[in-house]
Amino acid sequence: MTRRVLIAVFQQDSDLLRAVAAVRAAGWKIDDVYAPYAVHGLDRALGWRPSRLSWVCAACGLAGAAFMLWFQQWTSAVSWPLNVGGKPWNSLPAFVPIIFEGMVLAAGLGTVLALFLVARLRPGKKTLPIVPGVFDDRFALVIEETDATFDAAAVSELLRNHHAVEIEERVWEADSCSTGAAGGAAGSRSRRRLNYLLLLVLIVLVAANMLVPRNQAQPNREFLPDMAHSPAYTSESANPNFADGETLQPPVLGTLAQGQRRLPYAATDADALLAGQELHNPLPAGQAGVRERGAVVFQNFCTPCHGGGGLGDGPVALRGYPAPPSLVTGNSTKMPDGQLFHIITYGRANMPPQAGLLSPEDRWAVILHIRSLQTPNTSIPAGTKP
Amino acid sequence: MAEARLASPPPLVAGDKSPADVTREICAPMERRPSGLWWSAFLVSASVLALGVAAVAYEISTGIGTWGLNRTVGWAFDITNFVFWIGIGHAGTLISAILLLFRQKWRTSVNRSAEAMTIFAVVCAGLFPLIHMGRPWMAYWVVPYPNYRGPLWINFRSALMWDVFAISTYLAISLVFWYVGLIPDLATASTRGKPGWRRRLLGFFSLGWDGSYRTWHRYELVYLLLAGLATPLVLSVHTVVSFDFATAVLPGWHTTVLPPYFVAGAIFSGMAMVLTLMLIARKVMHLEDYITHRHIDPMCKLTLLTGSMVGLAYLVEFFTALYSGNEYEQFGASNRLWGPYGWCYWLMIGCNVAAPQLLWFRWVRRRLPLVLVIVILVNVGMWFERFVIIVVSLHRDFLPSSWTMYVPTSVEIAILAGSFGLFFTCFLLFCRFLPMIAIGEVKGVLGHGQTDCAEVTIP
Repeated sequence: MTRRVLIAVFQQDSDLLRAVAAVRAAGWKIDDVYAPYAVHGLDRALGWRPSRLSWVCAACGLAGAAFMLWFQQWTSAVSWPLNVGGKPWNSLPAFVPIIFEGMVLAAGLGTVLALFLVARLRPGKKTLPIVPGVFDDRFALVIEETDATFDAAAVSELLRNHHAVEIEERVWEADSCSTGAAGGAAGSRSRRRLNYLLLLVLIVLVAANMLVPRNQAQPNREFLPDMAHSPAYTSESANPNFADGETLQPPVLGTLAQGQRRLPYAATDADALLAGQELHNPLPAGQAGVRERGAVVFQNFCTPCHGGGGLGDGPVALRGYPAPPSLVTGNSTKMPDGQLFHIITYGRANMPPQAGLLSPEDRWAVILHIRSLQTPNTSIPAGTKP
Repeated sequence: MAEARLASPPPLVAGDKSPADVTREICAPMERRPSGLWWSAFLVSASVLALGVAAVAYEISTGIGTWGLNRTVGWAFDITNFVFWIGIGHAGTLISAILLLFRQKWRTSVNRSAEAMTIFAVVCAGLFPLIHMGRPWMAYWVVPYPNYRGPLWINFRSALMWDVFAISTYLAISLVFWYVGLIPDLATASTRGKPGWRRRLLGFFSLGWDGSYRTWHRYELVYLLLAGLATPLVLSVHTVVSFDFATAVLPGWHTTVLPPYFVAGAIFSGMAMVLTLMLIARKVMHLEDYITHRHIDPMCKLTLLTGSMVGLAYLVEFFTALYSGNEYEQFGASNRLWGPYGWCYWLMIGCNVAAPQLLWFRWVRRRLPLVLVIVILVNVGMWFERFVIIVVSLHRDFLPSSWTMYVPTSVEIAILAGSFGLFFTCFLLFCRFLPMIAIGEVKGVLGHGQTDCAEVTIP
């Protein structure tokens, strides 16, 4: 379907305003006006109703505010209730600023998008002035020739009386106002070319990915490692800051770790006797699990030399290492617990110290186990003369 | 009618221009080769920007330790610059939105540049919290998105979080406001000059604008709605920035006067920056006919008004300290005046309160070089105001054992300079590639046929 229109061009906005008033008074239908700027008073002269975009703005603003209200309450009170300084979960006053910002953002963006939609503005759409100069200093009044009674000569006469500088008639296709179809074929050709180019790039990339082997020995390139690598020395690395050149330094003499108790004895026989006089086994013999723990420790750490029954016939001793004395007869049966503890801790004769392997609790537990091997299987408390 | 015209002030645009003159003269800088002055200004600001980029790269790759911050003064140059730049932005929205609502027609010559200035200033401002994060690639953590940490959401009760939302909304709405205003002018520019990529690009962004009055009709309403939205927004943004300080318990920050004080200060500093740019641009871009005394004069008066409001706020701060009877507040107040950074305070008073008082005199307002000196002083003073609020309050806190001094490092100074480089580089590119005066709006206030409007009878 085609429409016939009459286009009149004006040079002054005052002429345009008067012409619009006269055309409307004569009862002809104004299709549109094209102007380089928003002429003051033209919308009143045209008698157009105010745009309904204000309602879009109100609706978007309300939606934005409601969403931010719900979102803040939901995240702060439901999804992960976060206690900040004992404030209530729904601390509404603290949510007001962001509710407001959400309202403004949604209202602003929503209204502008709605404008673009209803005014059919979109990026890349061709800008074609309806008559030359309509972006500069000309105003174009478009009158629709509604039916056969439309008297083009009379309209032209009226418009000329209002200082129209140019009047022409045009035939418009129903839905193509000003954008021509001329660019269509060229546009689709260049689009196809772009698609082929992109396809080629894709093929090259895939082929390169398959053909170029990846060097598995080389670590991936790191981008923003986020403190994954500490500049601090690791415990085994060389360290120029210490005299011995090592990072891991022995503790200062006499240092005790947390929970550790002081053992004020030297690795001498005299101190072993002294320990026998002073130390008590802190583990109650009747407590569940203590003897069992002692048996496990004995099995793991003592049997290689002392043998499963404590007779000094462990596999190490059988292969020629000097055999230890029996734990179930002789001296061991008379030594107090403290003396045994000293011997386990510091070692004696060919026995190496076990302090680095066994915790004090395990040493006491293993003593309980040794007592159970002996007859009579009772602990020998401190102060008992061997 | 004739008497009214005689009594009315001189036209907003000098030189009795026709609409065609306006189009030609405003589009001219986009169509001719840039002048030597433009090139030298561009090279200087681009090199300063490069210096800033290098400083930021060094800071990010090495760490925040390259700054002069310490345990007591944890915010200094970075947040000072942030508040300074975000304040600059406010004048753009004031001119484009608030003055539109007040129907101040003189805004048409300056609103486009002022809005561009807003956007560039907000971008400069936004950079500072980002680089202060130390690991800016984690910046997306400020966004509330569903995550595998719980989901652990951001803390919506924090003033810093409000800041994130306020600044990003402000940037988005300012951009939209600026772009919507640009669309008709982009269409105008895209049909002029030599064909080529410049015209194609302008055409792409003009969205197929054809000047139809059906579109103008809706456009005018949307522009008004955006102004109505931007007006409370601009007041909220610096209010929220002031909450960063006002919700803390530090003497000097913990006062209720801070929000209005910050908003007035923001518009004050922004007006000073708009005047600085306009006074230079009208000479460099030959826009003397478009930016006249009819524009400079009200801007000077607004500077004077907001400057006096800021002066009042300084007094109220002291009154609050005195009246509170709180010894920490009173110490904080006297430390500002007589403490080790006292010179910053007196510099601020001299630049922000004393210097603008010269603008009471019409004689001064008509001497544009003098106005330029005053507004540059205001720019300096407003930077020092933020420095005084932040560093001077922080460096003497409750515990004398943690009292210390803050000295900026060369990296911080280079980053501050770099932000000016970014701002001016963007502004110079804007002057070169976009119509820096709203062509459509200026044509509407030329006065051609304005007086005849009333005679038209509306059927």
